[in-house]
Amino acid sequence: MSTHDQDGIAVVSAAGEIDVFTAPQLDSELSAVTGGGQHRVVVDLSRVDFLDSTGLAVLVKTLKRVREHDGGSLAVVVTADRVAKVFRLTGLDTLIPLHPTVESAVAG
Amino acid sequence: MTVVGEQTAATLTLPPSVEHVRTARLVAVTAARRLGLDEQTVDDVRLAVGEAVARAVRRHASAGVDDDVDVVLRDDSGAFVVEIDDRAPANTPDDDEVGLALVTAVVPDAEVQGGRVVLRWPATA
Repeated sequence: MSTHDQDGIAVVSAAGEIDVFTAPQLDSELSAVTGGGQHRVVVDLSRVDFLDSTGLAVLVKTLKRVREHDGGSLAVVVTADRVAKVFRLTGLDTLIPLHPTVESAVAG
Repeated sequence: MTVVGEQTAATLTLPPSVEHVRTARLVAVTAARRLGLDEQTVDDVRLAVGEAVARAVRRHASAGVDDDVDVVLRDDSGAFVVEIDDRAPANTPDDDEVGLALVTAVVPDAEVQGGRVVLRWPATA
């Protein structure tokens, strides 16, 4: 889990599997970012090969937080079909835009 | 793994803690591949078993139950069946509706009754 700034947007990168065991790490990373006053966020899941409902819940929570601020935004980078599928099945892809690369997510 | 008659079955007994959910996913994925399910269905198995076992672990935590969670994987005449049984009281509330929604979305035949979840993928043609 790491965070870097790209064009004024916080890019949070995760890797491996995000599930009920590991989602709290993503949650604390994202809470630190939004708690630190950064409300334009991209979550890079391109190196994530599994995401469950707990991971989705962390993203929904983050979406609510960034939306409380003018100009706040959340986008996600997804490359694995398996990960994209959970966004589609829950309809979350209609609330959080999915991008194929960090560059396109940052560009909006 | 134990072999009973013509059927192959595996029983997994897991302590009710979140780090063991991954183990259940791995065992289920291995069993599904061995049965010849295609990779897309294997992905569904990974997701559904993970969600169902995570639900069991959550129910145990919310009811304060320390007993193990049982996961039985079996080949029922070519159909792949996974049974998850927890020991929390049947009426234990579950606050994660998204998890169960994912289960019903990816499993052709999913049955949820209190602490018992039965997932069934039909035999491939």
